Amino acid sequence: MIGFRRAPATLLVPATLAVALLVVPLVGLLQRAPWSSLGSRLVDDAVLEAVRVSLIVSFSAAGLCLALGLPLAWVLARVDLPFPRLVRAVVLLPMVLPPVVAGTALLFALGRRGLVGQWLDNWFGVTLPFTTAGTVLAATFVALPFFVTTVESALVAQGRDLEEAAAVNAAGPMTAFATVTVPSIRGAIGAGLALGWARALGEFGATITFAGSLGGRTRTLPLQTFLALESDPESAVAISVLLLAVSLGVLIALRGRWLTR
Amino acid sequence: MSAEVRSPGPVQIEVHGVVRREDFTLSLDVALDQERTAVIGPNGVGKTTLLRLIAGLERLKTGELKIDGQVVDDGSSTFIAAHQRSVAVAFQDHRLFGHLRIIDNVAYPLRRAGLKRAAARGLAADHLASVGLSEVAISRPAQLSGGQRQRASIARALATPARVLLLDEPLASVDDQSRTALRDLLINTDHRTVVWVTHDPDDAKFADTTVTLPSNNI
Repeated sequence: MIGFRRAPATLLVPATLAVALLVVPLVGLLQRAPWSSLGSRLVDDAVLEAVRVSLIVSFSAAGLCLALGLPLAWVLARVDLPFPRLVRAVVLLPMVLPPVVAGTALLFALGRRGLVGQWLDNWFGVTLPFTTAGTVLAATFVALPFFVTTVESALVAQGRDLEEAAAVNAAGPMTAFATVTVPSIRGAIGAGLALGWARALGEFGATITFAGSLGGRTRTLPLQTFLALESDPESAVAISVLLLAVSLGVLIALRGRWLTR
Repeated sequence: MSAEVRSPGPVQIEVHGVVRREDFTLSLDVALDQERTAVIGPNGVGKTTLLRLIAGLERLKTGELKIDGQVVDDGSSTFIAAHQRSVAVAFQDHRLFGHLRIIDNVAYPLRRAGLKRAAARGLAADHLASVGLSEVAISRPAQLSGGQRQRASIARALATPARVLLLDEPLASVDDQSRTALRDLLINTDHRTVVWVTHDPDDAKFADTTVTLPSNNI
């Protein structure tokens, strides 16, 4: 490592500009925040309703990430899959896909006339678009790869040694998974859940496309922020400050994993 | 426990076949029919691979592996998984479970065998005492020295109720003072058969027979 003063200016200047690009918008937001009325704006009925929807949606999405993503991460790390690169690309796709495309895709798959949605509607009377359940699915769609990649990396780094030790100690595959694999990567599972939850909490594009913006049902905090920008910009800023604080909180909780090297 | 009480005699293990990996082909033709067998040979001839095959951690490409007359691996459809083979292993690296206390690491195979937590811990405490680790029973593996971790790993293997005990140079990282006592423990274990991979002639001396690899290496 070299001292700050000895770093070449040709690298230091663009690096500083990059930090400024990330920091200036946040400073702009904080500078406009209605600090004196922040509390009262956040306990406004519409905001509280959005908080409730957001909490339900983000925690449900995190739960689905755990239930579906943990087995998926294990399969990716441990099983010789056919076409492994293709499978991995599919899993990672939501990370780079424009969220509005994700929402459109969900609509054509799970909408009432969609590929799967028509059967859900005909057989079970289940309709997902414009419902809280649909909002949860949209959030899970975008959050899942964050959870899966975090957990898969930990599984690959750990290797099979401990699972082999469990096997020769008479633990079958599921027992080994539950008693050795999962506890030994619990830190990564926690980190993946925090990242997935934060991503679900901030989801906007896929949600508004697939589930719309219905107060009390699908209008999460980001959607409430967008709506408030039109009519009550100070309320929008207040919600933004809240979401910024939550995001920072997640990063600080993950400091051992992401903020050190 | 003496050899006379260990009934019904040694487990018959026969391996005739080929193991193939990307960079490695190994042909094995080995029959183990004594209670205590030492496996010796230069590095890279497949001593560890032989143990992994017997344990069910690796599969034959072709050939047949029998334990007590039962085919447990025929290179294709027949493969009895590791957890169903009644084979315990002390690895060269300790492979303790970092999230469990030392006593619960040793109790792990006993819990899998159906013992209640208290009973398993009681037996585990006896095994820990036999390897001189009673004072670190409630520590985590990360708090132990390398030699202590290896001793804990040996205690876990000794605690595993299995017919065969496979030892992959378990004393390599143990200090000289403990080595003789641990060797006695491993030789006199209740397991019907012990297969011991070693570089140390003193370990091999206690065996009923010595198998030298390569048996028929390609």
